[in-house]
Amino acid sequence: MNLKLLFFASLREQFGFSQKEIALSRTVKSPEEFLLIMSKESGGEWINLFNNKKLYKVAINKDLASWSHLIVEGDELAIFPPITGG
Amino acid sequence: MTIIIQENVFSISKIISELSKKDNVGAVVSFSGYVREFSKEKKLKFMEIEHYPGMTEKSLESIEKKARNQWDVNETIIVHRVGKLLPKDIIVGVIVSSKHRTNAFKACEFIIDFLKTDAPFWKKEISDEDKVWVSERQEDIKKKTNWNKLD
Repeated sequence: MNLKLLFFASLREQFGFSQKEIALSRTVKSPEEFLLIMSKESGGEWINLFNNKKLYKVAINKDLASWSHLIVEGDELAIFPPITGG
Repeated sequence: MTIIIQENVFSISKIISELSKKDNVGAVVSFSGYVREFSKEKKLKFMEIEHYPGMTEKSLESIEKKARNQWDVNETIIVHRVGKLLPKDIIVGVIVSSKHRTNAFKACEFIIDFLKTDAPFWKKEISDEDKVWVSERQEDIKKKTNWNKLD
């Protein structure tokens, strides 16, 4: 399964990239499951992110979504800290 | 509806003046937000604002549409700066025109309240001591929740 992943603000700094095409070895159904797989396969920062996901927001194809929202092949997934504009 | 995301400084008074000259405008209400020179007693050197291109515009369009569905407004202009900003710089402007004042007041407040929590911007404050990503304010979440209660 292929996904486009974007990080912003503190997460971009922690992970050292702002966007990446991710090719998963299996299909995932939600952002939560995506993080679970990444934490199992890549460890490190991904484990922290999975454990602390409630502190972060997720957007699917540029719309705010929940961690359990359905994702499909080719979706754009963005993960970021709470918004602080204005 | 006009949504502008830009690095450059803008003049809120110029936008108000231009809107006021349009047909059938009885009221123009504006909100402008500025960079404070102190944050938690630390003197700010500058601020950096990051955003999510594409989602920013999409979320602001959706917020504007919700405001327009509730209040009879003529025009709305939302300008938000990104990049490096200095203390006292303008960050954001929300300008709404309508025939009568109440609609413009309400729509302007609604737009800035939802922009604060739903439009993907992030502020980083740089002082002599450190560089800190700004945390969300409970007050902002409360303000949005209060609007939802009115739905």
